[in-house]
Amino acid sequence: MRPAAVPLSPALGTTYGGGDAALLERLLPLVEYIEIAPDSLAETHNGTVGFSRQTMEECHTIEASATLIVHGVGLSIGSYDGWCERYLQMLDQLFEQVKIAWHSEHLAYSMVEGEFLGTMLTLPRTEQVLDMVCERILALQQRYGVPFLLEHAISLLPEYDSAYSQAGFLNALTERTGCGLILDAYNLECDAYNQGLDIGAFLAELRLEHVREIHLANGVNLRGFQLDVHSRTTRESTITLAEEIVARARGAVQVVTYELLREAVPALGYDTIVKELERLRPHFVEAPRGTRCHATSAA
Amino acid sequence: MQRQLRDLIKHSYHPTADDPPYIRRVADSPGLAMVQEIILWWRTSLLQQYCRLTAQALQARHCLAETVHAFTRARALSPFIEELGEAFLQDMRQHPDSLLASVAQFEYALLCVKRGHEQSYVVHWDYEPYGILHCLIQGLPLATAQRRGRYQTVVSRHIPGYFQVRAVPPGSLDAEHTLLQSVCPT
Repeated sequence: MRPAAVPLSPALGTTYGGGDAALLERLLPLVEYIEIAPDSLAETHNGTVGFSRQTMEECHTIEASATLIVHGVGLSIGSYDGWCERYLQMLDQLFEQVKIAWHSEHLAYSMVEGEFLGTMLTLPRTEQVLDMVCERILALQQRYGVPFLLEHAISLLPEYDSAYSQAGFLNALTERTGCGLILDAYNLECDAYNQGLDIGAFLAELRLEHVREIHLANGVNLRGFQLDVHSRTTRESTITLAEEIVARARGAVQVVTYELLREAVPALGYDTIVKELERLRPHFVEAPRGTRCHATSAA
Repeated sequence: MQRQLRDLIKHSYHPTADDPPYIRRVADSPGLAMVQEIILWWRTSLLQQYCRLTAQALQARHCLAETVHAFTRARALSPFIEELGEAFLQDMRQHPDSLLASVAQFEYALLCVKRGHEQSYVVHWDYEPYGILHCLIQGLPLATAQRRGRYQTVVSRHIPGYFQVRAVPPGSLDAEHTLLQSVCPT
């Protein structure tokens, strides 16, 4: 059997928060991938979560022109008492109605005993947590049959004394489950600033062949913390770091995704967002849009 | 540990010397304060999106942040904006400030009828509603619009524009009857 085609360079993607047809029309010619968050698009009525007809029509519009990927925030894969079932209900509905190349979430938890924290907290890197998360990753892979990626989240709380380094923990996860990884270049910079992470040592230790996606974002510096707010255009240092990761991953990275919160779109404006994507493309994508070959192999 | 961290974040737990060193370290950390601030900012932002009128009224009364803070401390909250917003409006409709209560009741009723509820809602006001609503929508100071009087808004999907305002003559039976009924259904 012929091997699946492998990209020579990553494709470019961006996030889309829904409900802005004019923005979507401007984004689609510029990217190969559109990343959506089920949590942002879903609506709840009387305890039932679902997607409006308008939202699904938008998803169909997207999949006609680009590859659709899903990146959530509400799964809470690290909750000790179980993940968020309503998040899976959203995923089930999406997978039934649109073609999704892969889905991803954060190595973190945002719920405790069914109560939403309002933020994501990182996990202690212990054998017990590793066992728990791996079991859940395997269940997700079986449930949806497409690659699942995990992204490291930034940590603002003190580091927990852990059995694994950050990279070592991610290596153990990918080795046991075959899942992919998202590296958020700006998150790495935040952790370096806030927690003293040695990015060079992290990248040297990490099995980069599992990195399928890179996130690019920017945020704010507030009261001595660097925060990943996803509210601005990308810093040069973040772009440089992402380029380094792509180079070291030797073809593993399939897409570089520029992340922007829906709430930040009015402040930035469509023109700035378009210019940002045009600025980022030559850093990462070698071929003009529409002429690349996309990878079809699983993570 | 996750329960303890949750309770630290919600300001509902104060570690003692018997707690694990990590929990005490988190309690004393600037990172915890930052996390709490981010959560409050984010929830305020969501409520400003979903309950625009009520949030604006609280802002005009200079009590938005403290109100959201008290609201979020008191209960387990949903990650979904609709459920968060409805819980907030349910809370605010009981506010001791009658203007804030009326705005929240009105906004809740409006959201219900826009979603297709057949029921009509009657909201009692101690101020002329059009002026108040105009100020809230335009982000103008409320003081200029606070014209006292007895008014009702009837909110229904069968009314063009979803609501109508009527003045209630003081001392009328209608006003007393309406006062008894000016709560949104649970």
